[in-house]
Amino acid sequence: MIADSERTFKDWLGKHQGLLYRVVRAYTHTPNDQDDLFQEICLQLWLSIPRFEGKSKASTWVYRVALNTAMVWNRSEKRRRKHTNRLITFPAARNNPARPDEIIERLYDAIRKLPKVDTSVVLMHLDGLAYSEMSEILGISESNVGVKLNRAKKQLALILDGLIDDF
Amino acid sequence: MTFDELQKTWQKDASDSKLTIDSNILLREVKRNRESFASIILSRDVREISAGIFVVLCFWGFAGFFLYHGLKLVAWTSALSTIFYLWVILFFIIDRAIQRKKRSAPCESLMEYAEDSLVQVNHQIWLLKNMFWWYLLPPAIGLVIFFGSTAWQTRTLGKIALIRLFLRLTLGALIFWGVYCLNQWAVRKDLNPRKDELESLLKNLGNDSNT
Repeated sequence: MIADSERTFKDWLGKHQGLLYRVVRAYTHTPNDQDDLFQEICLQLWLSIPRFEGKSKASTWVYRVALNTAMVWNRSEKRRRKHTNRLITFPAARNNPARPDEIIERLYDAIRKLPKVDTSVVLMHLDGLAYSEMSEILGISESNVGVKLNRAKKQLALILDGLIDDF
Repeated sequence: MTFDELQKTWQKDASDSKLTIDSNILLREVKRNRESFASIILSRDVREISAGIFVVLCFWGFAGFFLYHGLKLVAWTSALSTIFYLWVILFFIIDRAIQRKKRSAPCESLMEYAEDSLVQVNHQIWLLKNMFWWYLLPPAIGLVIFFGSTAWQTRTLGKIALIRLFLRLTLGALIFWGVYCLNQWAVRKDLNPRKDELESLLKNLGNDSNT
């Protein structure tokens, strides 16, 4: 049973680490916070394994746990991290604004300025999730997802100031 | 750049960005965190309950001591005081058990999870705001009865007995008031902002489909 859980955890981590990284990056400002939130999400994922019955896709499940944890995560709570060395090494892009992915950097900065719910909607949309999946993760209707996404896109375009043409 | 192009750039970056994770170390850390979190919760509960039981035992000890020395009234009031402390312990245990059953998990939808989190925060606020009634008043009644009986026992001392009673009650009231203020500060500093944050989250999740 524990071996199964460990296998599932490692499998999720291997397949969805990018997703976790993007959620963590969208909801935090500093590397320490990123590390803390990442660990918190990993803990919640581990705890959620016994409840996973395979009714939804693993990616939807992981997304849901990650977003829920990120949105109610409180920076002021006692830090779990006790390691002096980081457990996760994030890609170096954020420390190197001269890289060609400057657009992505600007996008993350803009996403962080959105309200938390809008952040989640934009993240899921950018990752290519269908409205039905977004609706399942957030627990709101698909039409509500559409309204929120449209509003968030407009706000994002405003923050990005000219980067997006079609708004 | 259109939003679709931005989406493609995002997805390309997502597939190019690789994290460096040692999943074995991370798993070990997750398990350690899990155990540490569970032990923090358990030790906090055990500490609260042990403190209550310790006070109950002290008052039973006092009761035995006074009974041995023939001070029946004080012995009885000491024993009576324990009922009030037992009430606090019982309330604490039952409340913990109920809340533990209600606790939600982040694998539910965000709406459900945020609603449940808000219910929990509201319950914590309710507990602390009303701590006078369930946490402070019962032991205070026990103390008043106990101090009153000791004052009555030494009533032959006249004013001195009254002054002693006054000083003891004042000290007790000051300590209880300090505990109350400390907890109300915790509500203002931690719980109210958390509640506002969750309410705002739920408000943002609210139905916009008609707008």
